Amino acid sequence: MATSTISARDDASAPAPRELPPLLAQIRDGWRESDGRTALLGAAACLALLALLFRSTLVHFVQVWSTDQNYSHGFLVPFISLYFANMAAQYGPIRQVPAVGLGVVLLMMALLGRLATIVVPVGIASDLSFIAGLAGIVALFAGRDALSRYGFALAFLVFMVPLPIHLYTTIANPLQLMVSKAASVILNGTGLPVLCEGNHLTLPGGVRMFVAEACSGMRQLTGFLALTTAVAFLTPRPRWYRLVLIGSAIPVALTANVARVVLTGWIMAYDPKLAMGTFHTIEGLLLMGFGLALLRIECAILNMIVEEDRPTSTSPNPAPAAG
Amino acid sequence: MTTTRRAVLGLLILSLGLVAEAAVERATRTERPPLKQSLQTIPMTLGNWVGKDEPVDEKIAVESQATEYLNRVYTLKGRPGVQVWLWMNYSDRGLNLRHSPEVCLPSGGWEKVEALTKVVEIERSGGPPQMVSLLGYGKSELVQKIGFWYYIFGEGRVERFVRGLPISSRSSHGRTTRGSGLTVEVFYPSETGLGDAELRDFIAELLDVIDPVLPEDRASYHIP
Repeated sequence: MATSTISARDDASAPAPRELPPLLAQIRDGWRESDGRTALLGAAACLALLALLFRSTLVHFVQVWSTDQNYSHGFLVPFISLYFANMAAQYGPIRQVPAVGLGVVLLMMALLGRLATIVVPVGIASDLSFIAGLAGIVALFAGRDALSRYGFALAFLVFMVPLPIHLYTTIANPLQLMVSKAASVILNGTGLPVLCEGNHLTLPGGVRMFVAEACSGMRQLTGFLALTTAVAFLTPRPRWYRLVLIGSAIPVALTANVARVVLTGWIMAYDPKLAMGTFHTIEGLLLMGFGLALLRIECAILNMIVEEDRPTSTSPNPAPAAG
Repeated sequence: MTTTRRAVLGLLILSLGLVAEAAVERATRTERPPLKQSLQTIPMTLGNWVGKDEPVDEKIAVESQATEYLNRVYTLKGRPGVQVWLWMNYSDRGLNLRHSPEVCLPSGGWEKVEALTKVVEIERSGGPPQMVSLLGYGKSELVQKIGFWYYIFGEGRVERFVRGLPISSRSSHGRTTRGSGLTVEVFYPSETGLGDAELRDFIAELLDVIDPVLPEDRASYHIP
């Protein structure tokens, strides 16, 4: 008797079994079926071969993410993609629509991209081909609908791909000049006379200030583009709203940078030492916060114009309550 | 199509990819030309500059991944304080090209001084001008300048064309070089009192004497 009483009490107080994240739950459910098990094992084997084929690309990713501050967010991107995939999985099982042709085409494209990189030194072809290969495996084993549902999570991986350095500097250099000019106009307009020569600003007293490549806005732009795309995906709003949000990454990053240079100019005019080392880093973080605030204000204004989309259970894109 | 067949198809395509990768690697294998002479044959006297070999830390020598290297200090005759440090390294597999000032100096705590960074053209009497990147790096109160350029030997026209496009990677990422390579770095701390004119003079003298050492089939680059 005593034993059964204790047992009953234990049952009552025992915590409810922990729910698996939807993505893992779907994998578990798939594993329980013979056909699903074959698909999962086949997909895992294909993923292993794909990783082997693209080993130099994967090594390159890790090398760039860990050494280039412009892409330090690269480590986070796969996890954010998994988060998106998990969100997409909460809409339940997917109708299996065979997409063998599409899967084969995507895998062949991935192979061609990889082989092309051996012949010509264009690393980005291999980088993007790796994502195409992943999409091919999804299409082959999970079908067209799955590719459609998890397409965003896969496409988001593009933010982990480093831009070719030539292309990066081609974009960053004009931005650098633009930021310098805009900052000098504002500094002059706010009562601090400066002479702008290219990326050099000369402040009163001959204090020289240089708008470095890191201040061009590219570093923030790469981060903001990933961020606004993620926010746009999570926001239950119309397509145009999301596009505006993603497009605004460029002006927001530039505005934040101009503000940073203007602030640095005023600080340097007061005491040049305060614009160096840790102070400069703190300034950068503050201005990143300023950029985020600009995005928040933009969302608030857009929210006044448009109403929230009503999520439907058949919606391919998850629409959480976050506003 | 059954799941098993799809799995077989996927594995077949990717396995084929691995075989094709090996085949393309083999078919497009390029010669990795050796230097015509040892780097040690570069004279100790370059115009008004007199050199002296400097030992290289064993760890640096290993990490440079160079097949052969040269580390010398050249002093301007009559001006003992005016010195440049010449670091040249050659790798028969181009592995040394992944080391460039932009990658290695920041990892040593040096910060790039953008205002000191520019690209210059060194005129030569006996050959075409050479583009050289002049870079500035600072650590605490110290500032050092570096003249940098490099060569890739043995690559074909396609690689050279693509290397000039904005989509290509630079050498420093080390995965696009299919030939052998030589990097040249001329270091000069700012407190040595060396000006741009003296540096250009040193590089011009150096360019003349390294010509006989380099394989004919070469392309020259300067962006780190």
